[in-house]
Amino acid sequence: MNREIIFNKSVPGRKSSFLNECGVSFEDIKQFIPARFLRERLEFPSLGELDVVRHYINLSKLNFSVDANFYPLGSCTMKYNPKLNEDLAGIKEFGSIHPYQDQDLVQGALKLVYDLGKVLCAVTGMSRFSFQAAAGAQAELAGLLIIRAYHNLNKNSRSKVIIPDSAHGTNPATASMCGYDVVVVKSTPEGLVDVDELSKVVDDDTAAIMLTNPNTLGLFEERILDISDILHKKKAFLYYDGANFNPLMGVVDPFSMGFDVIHLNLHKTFSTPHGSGGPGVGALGVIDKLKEFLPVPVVDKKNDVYFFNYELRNTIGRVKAFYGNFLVLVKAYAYILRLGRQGLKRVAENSVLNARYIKEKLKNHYKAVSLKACMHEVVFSCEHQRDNGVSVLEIAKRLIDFGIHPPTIYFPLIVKEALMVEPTETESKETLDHFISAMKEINSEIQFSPQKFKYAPFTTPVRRVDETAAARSPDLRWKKTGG
Amino acid sequence: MPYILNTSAQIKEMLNELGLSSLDELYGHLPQEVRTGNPDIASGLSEAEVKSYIESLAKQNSSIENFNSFLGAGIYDHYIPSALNHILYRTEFYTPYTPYQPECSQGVLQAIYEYQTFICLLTGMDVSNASLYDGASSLSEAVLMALRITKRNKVIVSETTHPEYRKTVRTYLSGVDCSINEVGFCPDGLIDFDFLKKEIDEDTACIVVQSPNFFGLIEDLEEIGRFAKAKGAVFVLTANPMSLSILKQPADLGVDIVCGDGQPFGGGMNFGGPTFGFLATKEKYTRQIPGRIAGKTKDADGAFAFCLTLQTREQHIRRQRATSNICSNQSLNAVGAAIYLSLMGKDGLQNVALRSTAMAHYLYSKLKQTHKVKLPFGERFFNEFVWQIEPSAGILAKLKQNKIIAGLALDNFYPNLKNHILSACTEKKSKDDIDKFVENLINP
Ligand SMILES: Cc1ncc(COP(=O)(O)O)c(C=O)c1O
Repeated sequence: MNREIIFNKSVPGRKSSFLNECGVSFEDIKQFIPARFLRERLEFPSLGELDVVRHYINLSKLNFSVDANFYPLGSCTMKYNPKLNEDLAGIKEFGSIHPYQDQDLVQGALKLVYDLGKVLCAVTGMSRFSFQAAAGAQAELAGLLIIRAYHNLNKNSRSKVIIPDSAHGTNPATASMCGYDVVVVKSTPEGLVDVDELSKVVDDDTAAIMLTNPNTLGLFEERILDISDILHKKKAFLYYDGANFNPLMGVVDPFSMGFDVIHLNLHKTFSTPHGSGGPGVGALGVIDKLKEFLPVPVVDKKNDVYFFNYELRNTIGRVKAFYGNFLVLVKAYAYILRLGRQGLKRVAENSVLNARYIKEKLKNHYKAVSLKACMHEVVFSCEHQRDNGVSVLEIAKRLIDFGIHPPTIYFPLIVKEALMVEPTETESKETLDHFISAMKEINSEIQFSPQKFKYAPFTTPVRRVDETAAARSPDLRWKKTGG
Repeated sequence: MPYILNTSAQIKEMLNELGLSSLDELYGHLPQEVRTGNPDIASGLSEAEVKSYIESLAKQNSSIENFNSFLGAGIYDHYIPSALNHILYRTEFYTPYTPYQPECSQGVLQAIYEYQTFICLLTGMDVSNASLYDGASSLSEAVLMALRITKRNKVIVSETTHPEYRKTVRTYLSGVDCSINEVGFCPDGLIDFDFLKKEIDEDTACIVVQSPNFFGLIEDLEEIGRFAKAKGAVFVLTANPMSLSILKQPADLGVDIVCGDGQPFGGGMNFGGPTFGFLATKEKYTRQIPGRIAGKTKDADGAFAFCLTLQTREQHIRRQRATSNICSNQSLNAVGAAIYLSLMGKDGLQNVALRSTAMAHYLYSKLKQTHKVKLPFGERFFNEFVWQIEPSAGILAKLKQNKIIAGLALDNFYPNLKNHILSACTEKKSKDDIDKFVENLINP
C-alpha cells in the first residue's frame, strides 16, 4: 500500500466540499476583520473524500487492536470493549448537547452522572465521586491537591509524599507537580512495600502515600491495614491509584483497605476503549471528610431535579473545563448496568484466574518475579533470556509475529528485563494457551536460533524501528521540502 | 456471564491446574478484614434492557438540534462530515492503547505525526505534541512550561481568557510557588494595555492571552508580543483553532506557546467532553513540552517509520522530574482532527471560518438595527460577540420557549456584566435562523 504522508498526496485543485459555496471571501471579511489580522497562506493538502478515506483506512490496518489481537499490555487492562456501549454513547441526545445548555434540557445526562457516582461509591466504599478528570494522572493531580488543601486548611501543611519504588511514573510526577518532595520506599525481595522501612519514613511531615493495590508486580499488598495504620496515625492520607482495581471489584473495596482518596480508570476497569491513547476518565472518589474539597461542579439532586453544584466549601477548583469526558461515562455506566453485582465480581475473579494460569504455565520457562500468588497480572523477569543474548525488547518484538501485542516491558523499573502480562478476564483459555505456546516457542528459539531476534518482527509493515535515531535527530512534523 | 468467554468447564480445568477448587480461593491469601466487597448494586441486565434504559435517559435530554442555538463559549456546533466518524470508529484506531510498540502501531503513529504537522502549519510553530486533555489543561501545561523556561514566578493572565480555563490554571498552579495576576479589559472588551504595562516586569514568567478572547474579540497580539519580549516573558496564547485558519499565524506575532481546545475540528459537543487540547511551540522549547510526541525515523531496512520520541521528558522515564504527569491523552480526538482537516483542506476549512464569521457579523448588524439591544464592545470579532438586553433572564426564557437558545448569560462568570449575552454562529447557521431569532426578540 501507499504509506505516503497525507501532505505528499495533495493534488492542487482537488477538494471535497461539504458546504455549498458560502459566497463569503476574504475580501468580504475584511469589512469585519482588518487585513492586518488575516493570514495569507495555509498549506493544507487538497484531497477528495475518497483520498482521505483510503489513506486513513489503510493506516488503520497497520495497527494491532484489542478487537483483532490479544493485547496483554500490563497495567493497562486492555479488556474487550463491548459494542453496545459505543452505540449508546453515539445517541444524539448525548453527543449533541452543549455544556452550557440549561440544566432542565440535560436532566438525563445529569442523572446518568449522578447514578454512576452512586454505583461507584457502592463498589468502592467512598462517599462521593467527581468525573472531571480525563485520565488517571489528572485524577491523581486533583486527588493530591485535595490532600494538600485539607492539610493547609488545618494549618498543618506537609512536604512529603511517599511512593513505593514499584510505582507507576505518574505517581511521583503528580506529587512533584503538587509541590511535594517524593520519598521512595523500597520493596521487599518478595515485591511488597517494606513496612518496616515505611514506618521509619512516615512522620508528621508526610502528607500521603500513593499506592496501587495489587501493586505493579501484580501482588496484593497483604499488609495494607498495617500500612494504613502507620499513615493514619500520623494524620497522613492514603491515595489509591486504582489503575489495578480490576481484580478487586466486588471482592475488596478500597475504603476497607484504609484508602481516603482514590481514582478509578474507567478506560481500564470499566471497559471503555483506549482510543490509541485516550480519551479516558479518572473517576476521583473521596471519603466523607474530603467531600467538600472535590473539583466543581458535582452533580446533585434536589426534589428529583438534578443540578450542577458549584458550592463546595473547600473545593480545589477545576482541572478541566466543563464536566469531564462525558461520553466515556455513558459507556462505563452501560457496562456496570449490564454486569451488575455478580458480573463485576466475576470480572475480578476471572482476571485473576487468567493471570495466574499464565504464571503457572510459564513459570518453568520464564522467571516469575515473585513466588507469591499473583492477582490480575504477572510480571516475569527475562534475565536468563538476556544472559543468553536476547533482551526482553527482542522477545516483545518477536511476539508480534505471533499476532500478539507485546506485554508491557521494562516496567516496573525495579525488575530487570521486566515482562508484565495482564491478560484480563475477557480472554479465553484458547487465547491464553496460544500466548503460552508462543512464549515457549520463543524460549526454544532463543536456544536454537538467537540471531533471529536481531531482526524480528518479520510480519509487520516496518521492521525494528530506530527509536534512538528518532530521539537523536527529531523529525516531528512533515515539511514541504524533503517531505 | 457477559463478556467472559471461559466456560465453567474451562474455569474448572484452569482452577485444577492451580490446585484450587473455587474462584473464591484465588483470594485466599488476602486478609479476611478487607474482603468486604459485596456492593449493594443491582443485578445485571440483558443487552436489550441496558439499551432501552440508557435510551430512556437520553430522551430526558434535549439535543441542540431541537433548537435554533447560538451557544458557543468554547464548544461550537460545526458540521461534521460523515466520512470522519466512519474512519475514526475503525476499531484499529478505537481499541488500541498508546503506540508503545511502533512495529504494530504504524497507522496511529503516522496519523499523530500528520496531526502534529497540521497543528504546526496552522500555528506557524515548529513542534506540536500528540494532544493533551482539553483546552483548559493545555493552557495550564503551557503556563507550567513558561515557569520552567524562565525560572520566574509571576503569571499574568488576561481576564478575557475563558473563566473555566483561568480557574483550571489556578488549580494546576496551586502547589507551585508563583503568583497569578489577572489583567482586566477596556470598555471595548479588549485587553487593558495600560494595566498590562504596569503588571509586567522582570519577574514575569508569562503573559497568557486568549484571542479571539472570551467575548469573541480579536486581540492585538503583535503589540502584546512586543511587551512580552521586552521583559523576557513567554507569550502564551490560547485560541480557537478554527479562527487560526483565517487569522495570522501566532508564530508571526511573537507568541511562544499556542494552545487551545481542538473541539471545533470535527469534534462533537459531547456535553463538553471528550474534546482534546493542542499545544505547539518553538523548536528551542521542544524539551519542555508535556506529553507524547511522535517522530519520523527509519526501520531496520531503511524504510521510513514512526515512533513515540523524546520520551525522556515523560513521567514513565523521568518520574518526579518529568515535564508533566500526563500519560493517557486524547489521542483519538486528535486523530479525528487530522482526519477532519484532511477532509476539509484549506478551502473547506477557511470556508467554515469565513462563513461562521460572516454569520456572526450578520447577526450583529441585525441586532444593531433593532435598537432594542446594546452592543457594548468593539466590532473586531470572529464567530461570537456580546450583546446586552434588559431583563435578559426573562427574554432568554421567552426565546427558549420558542426553541431559540440565544447564547450564554455572562453574569455567572463576570458579575459586572449583568444582562450581557455571548452569542456564537457557526457555518450551520442560515440567514433564516438568524432572522427568526431577531424577529422573536423584537416581537416576543
Ligand atoms: C499503575 C498506573 N497508574 C497510573 C496510570 C496513569 O493512568 P492514565 O494513563 O489514565 O493517566 C497508569 C496507566 O498506565 C497505571 O498503569
